[in-house]
Amino acid sequence: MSFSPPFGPPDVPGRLTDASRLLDDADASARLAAAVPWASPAADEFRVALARWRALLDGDRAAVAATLRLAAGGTP
Amino acid sequence: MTPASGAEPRDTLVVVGGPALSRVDADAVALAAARLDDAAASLRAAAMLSIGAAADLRHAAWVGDPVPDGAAADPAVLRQCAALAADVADRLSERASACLLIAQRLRIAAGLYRHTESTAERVLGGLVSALAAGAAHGVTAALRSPAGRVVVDVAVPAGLWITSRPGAGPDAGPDSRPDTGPDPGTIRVLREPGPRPDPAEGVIQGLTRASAPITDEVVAGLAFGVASAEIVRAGGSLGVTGGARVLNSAVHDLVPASRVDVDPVADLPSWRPVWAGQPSGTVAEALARTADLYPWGGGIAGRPVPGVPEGTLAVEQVEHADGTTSWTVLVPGTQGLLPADHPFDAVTDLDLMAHRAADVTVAVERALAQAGARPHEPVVVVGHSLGGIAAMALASSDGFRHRHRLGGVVTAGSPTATFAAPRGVPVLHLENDEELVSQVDGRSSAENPATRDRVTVSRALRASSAAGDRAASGSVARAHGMDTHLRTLLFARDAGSAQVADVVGRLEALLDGQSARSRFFTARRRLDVDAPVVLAPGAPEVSPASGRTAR
Repeated sequence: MSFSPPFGPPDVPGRLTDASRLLDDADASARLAAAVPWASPAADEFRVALARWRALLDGDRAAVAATLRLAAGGTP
Repeated sequence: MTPASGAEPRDTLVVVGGPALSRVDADAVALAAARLDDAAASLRAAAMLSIGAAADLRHAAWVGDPVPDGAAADPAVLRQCAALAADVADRLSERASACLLIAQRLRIAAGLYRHTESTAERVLGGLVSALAAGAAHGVTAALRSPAGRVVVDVAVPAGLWITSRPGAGPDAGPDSRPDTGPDPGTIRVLREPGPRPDPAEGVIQGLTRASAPITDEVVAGLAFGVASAEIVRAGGSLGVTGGARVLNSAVHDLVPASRVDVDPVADLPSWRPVWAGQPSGTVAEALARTADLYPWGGGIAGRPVPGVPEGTLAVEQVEHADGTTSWTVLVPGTQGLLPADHPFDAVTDLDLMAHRAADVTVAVERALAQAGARPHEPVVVVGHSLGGIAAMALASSDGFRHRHRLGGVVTAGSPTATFAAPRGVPVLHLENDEELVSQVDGRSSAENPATRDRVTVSRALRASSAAGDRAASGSVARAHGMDTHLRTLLFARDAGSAQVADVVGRLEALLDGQSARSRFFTARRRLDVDAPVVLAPGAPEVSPASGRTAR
């Protein structure tokens, strides 16, 4: 986890890298949750909702990466 | 706790009771939901980091701070980067909230979600109960005094006369009539019904929404106060049942003795509903048919108003493919405060809440007997409001269960928590906070008795984003209307609640069949000229008809 030093330049790339890592953690947790061994229509609906939600995470991951690239001096 | 305002209707559901998942399934679902909680926590942390990065970047752009590792230093690029980081933070926060919602829905669907009152709600509830109890005790004691008796003897009959005049009943105005459409006999439950004009906007709506969460505590407190002031008349009960007994005794001291006659209606009356002769088939259709039995109709869009006479109940004889027969009894609710000629009134409400013999339960039994129901044939009783209380009174009556095999109970908008339901019989209660009626038993929906067979589905309408729910949340009449309860059932089924699916499936096995015969009966109240003059209340007797304590 990155924190801005009290005196010195803020570690923006470090923060965004940590955010990206946490996003991966969240996705991994969701993937495990989707594997719940519960057979019912409600469970099927849950898996569909979760898959839709995880697809949105892909977009978030791309947004974090673009911000990171720009902050590191590249192009978004 | 009540969900935040603006929630999707399905997220305002509270489901209690029903079969528990197997231990293995429950553990697995709980673990999956916990993993989603973890995922949401990770996303919230990521959002906080992004917010921090955005702040750092804005600061760097403003003061020209150096950025490490030869990163972007152009203020315009830094500002663009800050905007991107802020956008990322918003997205991640939104994603975390959605993740928590998926976890909550999973818990609701699996019956693992437990509605809990916040500490503030509990403290407020306790305070309200205490205040109401004190006030009710004082008023009841004052009315026992000689001066108080004079007030009661004059004011109560006058009030009853005024409110029992034609047109003074609930929903008696023209606005209460539903739209009729070309598609008779079908249910068209609108998830987002258009708002109907309501003259009582503003203050009344606000009061209704504000009072909804504490109605049960107010009633419990009032009941305690009334019962504790007249403990003998309360039969030793300091709860809602005791309070109702005190009021019930007072009312019966004033109104003349009567009896109920139950008459079959001719097979082809002019108002015969289009659905007559077909089995209800579903819980939703049975409830809609029950609402059709109000003289003014049920307020459900697209259903014609049969225009049945007051005091009508229906009995369906359902024939199944395996040659067996079941029965469905449809019992509507209160149709006047104190009408002269039928028992669907406030007196019966009090009789039922006092757990005493009531004319409507007598009417149901006589209708079943006249229709030819045999003891081994299962009977499903479906009721709205007063009809639902009557259904639960019958379900808890040993006498009724001795004469009939109880197949199931469905209630909508009924205060039923004081009644016990037999084991093995599917029971479904539909309630909401804002109708206020279902909390008259002194318990919130979440506090209703919950067993494997007995499921309560409720909603906080005021928290819903649906226009129809928002409108209903500010009007007791709309919140109590059948269309609102049907929406609650629809959302509960959409949410995939395993508990609701189980109890509804068991009920619909009896409601549906190959064919059905519908019979209609009118319950008429007649003055009992043979009744002895009671000079002093005596010990309660047990009614041979209902098996309950006679009033």
